[in-house]
Amino acid sequence: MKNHLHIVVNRVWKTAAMAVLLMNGTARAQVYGTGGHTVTMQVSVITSVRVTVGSVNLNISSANVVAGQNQMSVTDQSTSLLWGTNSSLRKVSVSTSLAAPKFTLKLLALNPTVGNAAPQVTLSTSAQDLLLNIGRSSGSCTLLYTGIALASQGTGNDVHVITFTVAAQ
Amino acid sequence: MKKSLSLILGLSLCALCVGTSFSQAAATQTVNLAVNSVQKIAITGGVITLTISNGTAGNNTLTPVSDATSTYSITHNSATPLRITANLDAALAAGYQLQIALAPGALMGTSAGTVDISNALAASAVAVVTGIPKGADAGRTITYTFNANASAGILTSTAKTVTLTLTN
Repeated sequence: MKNHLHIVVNRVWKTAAMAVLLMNGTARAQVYGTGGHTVTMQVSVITSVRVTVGSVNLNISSANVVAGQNQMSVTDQSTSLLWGTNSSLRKVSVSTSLAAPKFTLKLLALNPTVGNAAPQVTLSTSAQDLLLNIGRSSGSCTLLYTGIALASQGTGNDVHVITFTVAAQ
Repeated sequence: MKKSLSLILGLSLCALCVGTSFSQAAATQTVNLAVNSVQKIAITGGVITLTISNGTAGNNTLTPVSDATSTYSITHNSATPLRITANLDAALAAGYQLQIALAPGALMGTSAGTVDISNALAASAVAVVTGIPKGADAGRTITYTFNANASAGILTSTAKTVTLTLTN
């Protein structure tokens, strides 16, 4: 009887030990839940444009004039236009705020690092192409202004506010 | 539900606004174009040589010589009409005479005709074209005429500088 009891106790212990071992193994492999993130990334349309200097002065005086010629002109290429865009098929257009200038003001994009310069434009309040094909790039060009006046027009002063706009081509 | 829809609509509009503002960037620059007072005059022709070598028997006045190979050009934008004056750097001796005549283009001033500048110096320059309006006039003929009297004798080659001035 005592021997039988010993065998039973022994079996119970062994079973318990097995159960503990099994439980340990089960605990390590148990998946209680899952977690995750949805990451959405976006690059917006980014376009920037600026000029290196905010003001340009063009003065026609006797030094710019050839005797006998009615047309007088002066040029300036001291400033540059810089731009950056991550959109394709973009252009830079230009316009002036001055609706009725007394004299003629022309502009040409000189030596653009990216894109193609449009032919020299006579500035008006209507936007005109200055640069083409500048999509997905950053670049710069020299701004070549030409002021033209006729001697027969007399003296005077025109103040233009020039606006450069990057837009879809 | 209504609030959620409003929120979504609001966010969508904001996104559109942001997209628009970045998609068309602009920069401005001020350009001042000033046309100041301009007065320019130039001449062509360089050195003019006038040599008298003939005369008529019985006349003290020798046969004059002329030259019309030189020209003048002007440009000015003054509101007030201008004029051209002429003068020498030094007067000629008695018995010798240098005349000048300028021929302006149509509506570009009035010629004073043939003018004696033998004694016209800087302080006493004489008008040769008057009433020149703003504008330009190019390649207009200058005619020099040299007169001498036999009684004045022989004149060895003498250089005189003629100055034309565009003035008010």
